[in-house]
Amino acid sequence: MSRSGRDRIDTGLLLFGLLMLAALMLLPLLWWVSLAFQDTAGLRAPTTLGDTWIPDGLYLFDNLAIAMRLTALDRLVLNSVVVTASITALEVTLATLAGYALAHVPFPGRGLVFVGVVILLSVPQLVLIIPLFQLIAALDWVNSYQGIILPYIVTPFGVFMMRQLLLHIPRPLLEAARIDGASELRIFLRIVVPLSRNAMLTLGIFTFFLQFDNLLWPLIAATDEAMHTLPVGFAALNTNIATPFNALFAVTLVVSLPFLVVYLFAQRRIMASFATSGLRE
Amino acid sequence: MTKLRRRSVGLWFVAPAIVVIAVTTIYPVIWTVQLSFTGGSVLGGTRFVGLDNFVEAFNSPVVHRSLVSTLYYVLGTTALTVPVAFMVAVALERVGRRLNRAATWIKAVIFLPVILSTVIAAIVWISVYHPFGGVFQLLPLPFGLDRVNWYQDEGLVIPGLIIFTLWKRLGLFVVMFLAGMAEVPKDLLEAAEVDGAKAWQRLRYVVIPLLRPVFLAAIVISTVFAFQSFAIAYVSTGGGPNGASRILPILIYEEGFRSFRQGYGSTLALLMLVVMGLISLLQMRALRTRIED
Repeated sequence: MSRSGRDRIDTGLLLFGLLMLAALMLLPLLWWVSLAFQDTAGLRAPTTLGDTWIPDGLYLFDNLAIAMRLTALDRLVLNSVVVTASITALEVTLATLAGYALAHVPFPGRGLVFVGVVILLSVPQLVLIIPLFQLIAALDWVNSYQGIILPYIVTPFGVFMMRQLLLHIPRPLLEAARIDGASELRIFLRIVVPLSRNAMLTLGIFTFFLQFDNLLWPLIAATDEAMHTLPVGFAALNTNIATPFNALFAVTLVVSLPFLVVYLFAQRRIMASFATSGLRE
Repeated sequence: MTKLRRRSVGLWFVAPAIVVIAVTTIYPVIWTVQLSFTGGSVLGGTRFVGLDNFVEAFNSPVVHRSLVSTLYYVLGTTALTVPVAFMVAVALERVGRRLNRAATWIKAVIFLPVILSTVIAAIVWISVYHPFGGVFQLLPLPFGLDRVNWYQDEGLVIPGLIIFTLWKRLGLFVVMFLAGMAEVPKDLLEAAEVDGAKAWQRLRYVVIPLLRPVFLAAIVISTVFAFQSFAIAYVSTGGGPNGASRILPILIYEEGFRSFRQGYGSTLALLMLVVMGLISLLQMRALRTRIED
């Protein structure tokens, strides 16, 4: 058999395997969408979820209405957006500032600071939450936005990643500006920020997804239902026996929709952001 | 004067980050160590108890079981996710050479669970595993697989969570491997092909050795992520049934914020840190030594 013929067969077999995998991975999501539209109107636990893939009608909005009676969805969305947007803006700003200096502006003790950042990279969140809770309790910040935001204003991970990414800025460019007498702040705003737009976007996308998804800390920092974020609210809805499954599926589907749409259009950028963030860790 | 200002101007850029990290990371780490030597509860006042928490943790069957569940879950997830991700990446790269669009769409589907909220994904998978009307009942599965009650069975709950985690994170590692493979020099592969190396030989002797750093990164990240899978266990099973999936993050949360034994909770957090550190160290050791030979 010719070389290219065998290559074509190999590619065909691999494609078949990949399609099977993709179909398998879509199955749970299809079941989720299907159930979100179905009216099974039963209780949870032993009753059957559903036994058909094709919805028997369009009950999505009825299911959504049930969920919204059980939880203040608008409040959850508001809290999540405020918290996630603040964290992302703060993290990107402060990490870029610090990352730039660590990469390009020598100062006394810089090596020490960098080593410190690298060591702190590996500290898991679970080691920090008990003291952090005592801290926000002492500040009377439990059930406040600043309490939920505090631990993520800027993280060692963000600083480390920006330092690595900003190393790529050509040094001669910065030297030339310095010789011209430009202040470091001016250099930062006029040269570094425009050149690191891509790096900032990478960290921003990663931080946004990570924080929008954060359950543990918001669960601890917000005991009052009015301060719950979406993950906390959904987790609560899930443990509430009064919640019909279909309501849970409808509300989670509707909330995920904006993400799916953004993903559809920016998948390449989002994947690149995750790959870079992963490899820098 | 100007020279001195120039010398320390970098400090001003780093200062906000240093202050924040000192308050939100360094101080808590020190405080956790200190707390681990205290007893009582936050509500009833704390006191110094020496090593009591550590003695209790080392003798507690609950902690032993939690440790075993954690290691089972963490190692199982990593052992499954990393090789599968690598194989998928190889296949995608191969198919992408001829059928670029198809590969792009398949990749998008495989990556989709990564961007989905973990809490939502876990809720979706409760329906997948549901004993009455889960996805398994709707598929023509042999061997009574459709009757398996994953999250309610003490022996199957961790495998159930591992499969879910594989589904959720596979795309992340596939994309990481693809990024690594894009950097393998083309001329090196062509040279190997000219020398008569078959596809799997090129993979074995050229691609895999060059990707060792990516393998190490993937293994370490998968391990670190799995150790911190609080949301997955909390939403999927809440640590059940009968404590079978009470991994360390759940146990720390329960002791620290349900029982409000924050001293004991801190001890367990340190225990987790040590176990995590040891495993990461072993993984790096294992992969380094193999590079040398």
